[in-house]
Amino acid sequence: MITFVGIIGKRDKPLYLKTFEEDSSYTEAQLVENAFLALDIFEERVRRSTGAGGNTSTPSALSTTTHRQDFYFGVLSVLTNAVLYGFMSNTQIKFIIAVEEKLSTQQEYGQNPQGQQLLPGVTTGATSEAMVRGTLARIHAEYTKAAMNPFHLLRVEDNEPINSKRMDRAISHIVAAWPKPTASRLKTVAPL
Amino acid sequence: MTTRTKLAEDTWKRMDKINAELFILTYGSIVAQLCNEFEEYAEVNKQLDRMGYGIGTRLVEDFLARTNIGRCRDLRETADILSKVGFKIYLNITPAVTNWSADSRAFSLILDDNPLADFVELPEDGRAQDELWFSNVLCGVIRGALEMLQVQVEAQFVSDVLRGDPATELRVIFVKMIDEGQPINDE
Repeated sequence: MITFVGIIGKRDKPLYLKTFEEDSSYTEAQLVENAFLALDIFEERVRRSTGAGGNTSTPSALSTTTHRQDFYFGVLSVLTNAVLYGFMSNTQIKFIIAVEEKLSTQQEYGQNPQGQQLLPGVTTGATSEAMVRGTLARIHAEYTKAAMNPFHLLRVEDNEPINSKRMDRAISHIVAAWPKPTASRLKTVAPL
Repeated sequence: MTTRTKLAEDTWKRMDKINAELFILTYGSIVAQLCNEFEEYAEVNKQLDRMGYGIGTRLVEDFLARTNIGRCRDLRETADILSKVGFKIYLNITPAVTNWSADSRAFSLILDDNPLADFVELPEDGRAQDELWFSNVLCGVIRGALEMLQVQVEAQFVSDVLRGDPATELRVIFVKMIDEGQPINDE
């Protein structure tokens, strides 16, 4: 369950923050705070990669490694109930999502709310990297479409947040389309 | 009717093309800039119409050179050619011609896929939604082009999906035929 989607611009200015707290064990403020704490990781890894690539002003054989700035950052941080994943575009726009798996021991064994028997060992949390990458890529695409709005440009210069209803709706769809592990697992488990 | 569609399709194929995003962003930035400069959206609409008028008077020459279409006998034929050939070869869309008035002096063009308005969301300042016609340049183009053919019309938008309406509708109303001797009011 995705509980938070954040788009942070260059200079760490928040462009779009959306929390889905009904599914979350955190408050809205905590989700936002966690995302901002994770921003340091972006910076750190960028610095590490440009440092490792040598002096960026001299073109060299290493320039191919520093050239690609389109980063999928993977896991940014792991918290008690949530995992933060990040992606940075080559225009230095950072996308952060927080994924929470509501795992409780009652669900892993015994019965789930629908009354079907869950086999032990069938995990309810299954967040594959492909899912995360795909979701972040789609959010990136929605951001790009919103940025193409001619009336939006003015706001970016003033560093104001993105107010696009269409992007808001699209991101809500993307979040809703996040596969719910418990539901999909149920299909493969026959009721006993 | 199919000969016109075929003519349009063939002409479209021979036209030089430019990238759609470039065109859309250029037009979008014109509108955004105008909104910045003028306080009233009504004034922006007027400027877009004027720009369109300038485009239309010149575009019609290109249109006639490429298609060699003869004189239309009545407004219905004009509407048909405008939609099937005119819009097709320049914007690659074919708006539907509907809502003919009782005396056949007015019709509507329904643009169900307006390329000028891709990616656009009107600013949320409360007034743009009610006052701005984003694609108003098209009204000017139609007016200018037909005026060069001695047909005087009024063209204005009636509804726009950018405003939340179900469809984008452009109304064209025939005013009169212009006599040869009258000087064209070129703004």
